[in-house]
Amino acid sequence: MVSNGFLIIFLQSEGLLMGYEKIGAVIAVILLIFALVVGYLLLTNRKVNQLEQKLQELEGKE
Amino acid sequence: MKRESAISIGYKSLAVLLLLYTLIFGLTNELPYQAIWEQSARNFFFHVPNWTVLIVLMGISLVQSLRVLRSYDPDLKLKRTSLELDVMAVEAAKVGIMFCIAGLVSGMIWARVTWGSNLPASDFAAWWNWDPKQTCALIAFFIYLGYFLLRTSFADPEQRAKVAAAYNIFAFATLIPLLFIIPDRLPGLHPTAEQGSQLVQLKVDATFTTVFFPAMIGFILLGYWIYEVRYRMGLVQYRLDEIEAERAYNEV
Repeated sequence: MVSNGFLIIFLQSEGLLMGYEKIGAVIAVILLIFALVVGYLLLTNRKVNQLEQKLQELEGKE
Repeated sequence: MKRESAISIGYKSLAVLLLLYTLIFGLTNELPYQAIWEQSARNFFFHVPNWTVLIVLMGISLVQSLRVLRSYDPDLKLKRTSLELDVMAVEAAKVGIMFCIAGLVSGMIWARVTWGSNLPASDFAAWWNWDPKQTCALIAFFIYLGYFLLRTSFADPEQRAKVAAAYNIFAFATLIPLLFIIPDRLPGLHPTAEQGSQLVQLKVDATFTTVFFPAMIGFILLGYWIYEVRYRMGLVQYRLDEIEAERAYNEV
């Protein structure tokens, strides 16, 4: 059950979470962090592709 | 812009899907009751994969280091130069050490809930128990930290690549005994092969395995994705530096 989740117990034991109404918020924050990580990776991936393309062009000129 | 291959898109999409599945079901699925662990058993889906990714990435780093040393053989014609392989080795180790830190932190939080719940949060013993596995994992972390420190002490890139590659082989050789063999033979808080009845119980439970194995694959793919992006960026930077140096030399 979500209400008994490890994370919730941990946050409650540390006084960081009061009441079960914030459970959804905690999961939302975790998913947001995950989305940020994936977003960062996708952007970096795109940047690397562009740089590799530029490098190929530069090496072609030389 | 350079196009991604189907395999590349496929494994990255799979990583996102598996990790999303792990996050949602790992946090919300009903788990069978486990003494001591109770609901903290959910951390198994995050803590154990971190260490698995560490081993996979340090394994990749080891292979690249071996290739660095082999690249000096004049009879061998490798596609990459020793310095390019060195970039790949160090980037794998960097991502690996990031997962090592994640493993140590997730382990500390788990220790707080299971072994240190009766102690106040301000007490260090609530978070860290000097259990053989914890201690050995910390030693492994410092051994790899030594790899990065060693690299900073060489100005010559070729010399740095060779010495760091040799050290990396030693570092990996210590990783397996430190994470598995030594802790298994000492009494401690972590479940060992003999004491791991709880672990076995969880492993055979379908509700557990349906999250655990996708989590393992998802984390490994995520680790590889970060490594791939980092080493490609490192190789571009290396080539740009080389071109710049060539230009400067030609101008002189």
